[in-house]
Amino acid sequence: MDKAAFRATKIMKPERSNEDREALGRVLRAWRVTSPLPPGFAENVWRRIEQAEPATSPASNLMLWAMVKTWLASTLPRPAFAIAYVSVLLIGGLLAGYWRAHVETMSWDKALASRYVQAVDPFHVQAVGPFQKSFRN
Amino acid sequence: MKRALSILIGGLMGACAAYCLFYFAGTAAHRKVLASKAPELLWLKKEFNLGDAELARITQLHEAYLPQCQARCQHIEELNRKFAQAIDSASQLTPDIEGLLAERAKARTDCQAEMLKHFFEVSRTMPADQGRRYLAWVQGQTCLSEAPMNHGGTEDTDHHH
Repeated sequence: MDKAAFRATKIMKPERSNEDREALGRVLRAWRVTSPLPPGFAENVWRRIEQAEPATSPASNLMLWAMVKTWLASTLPRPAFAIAYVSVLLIGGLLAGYWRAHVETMSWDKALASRYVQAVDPFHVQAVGPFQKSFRN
Repeated sequence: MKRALSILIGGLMGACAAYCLFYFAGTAAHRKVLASKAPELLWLKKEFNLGDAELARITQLHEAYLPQCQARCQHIEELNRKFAQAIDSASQLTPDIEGLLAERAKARTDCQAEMLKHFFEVSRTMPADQGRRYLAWVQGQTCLSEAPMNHGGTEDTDHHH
């Protein structure tokens, strides 16, 4: 500890007058750290942070997983919950399948209508490329 | 936990199975149409609620129309080529170019007339209401309904003065 810091600690008393505070302020403002940081200080700090992170992360993950497992093990086997869970998934699957089929068949219908028009109307395609007609397919 | 896991996985598998079932059931008819020889005619059958006999007659008309249409297209292509050559080697409108323009316009008109004739024949093969719907549809989709005349928004002032 350098002289200025030592003086500052001496000044710090439980009961401080305004003068003391001003003096403390002056000393603190005048205080400069002159001793250099040890070599590789910043790198060491970051390395320690990196080493500390994975040590805490899996632990919290494990805890979360344990909570999920406990919740599943206790809730899912209940008949009412199991029926509701399976029903929701089944209905979701049915709706998704129906919607996908609907979208796809609509798109196929459009493509087939366009194909018919291209087959009977050469001018329809002429706007894109001269006489690249589907009847040649 | 075993029981919970089996319910969890069973539910997910059930959802996948339900998805596949509805998807394949919902697209079965269309996949059959797409795998056929002339899917566009089967689409026409479905779209205009046609019977097998009507489809057979329309297929016959369609197959008779296409080679004639192809021949007319080749003729127009030939005229387009000649016209492009004539334009390239000319610096003003010549009687040759005028003749080619007229001939090409005539070929296009003939093509459109044959197309319209084919549409009428197809529509007559259909039940009356569907025939009318078909005619309205082809009119909207084909070159029979041309784009409106447009002089960049100045046509009104030009024509009314």
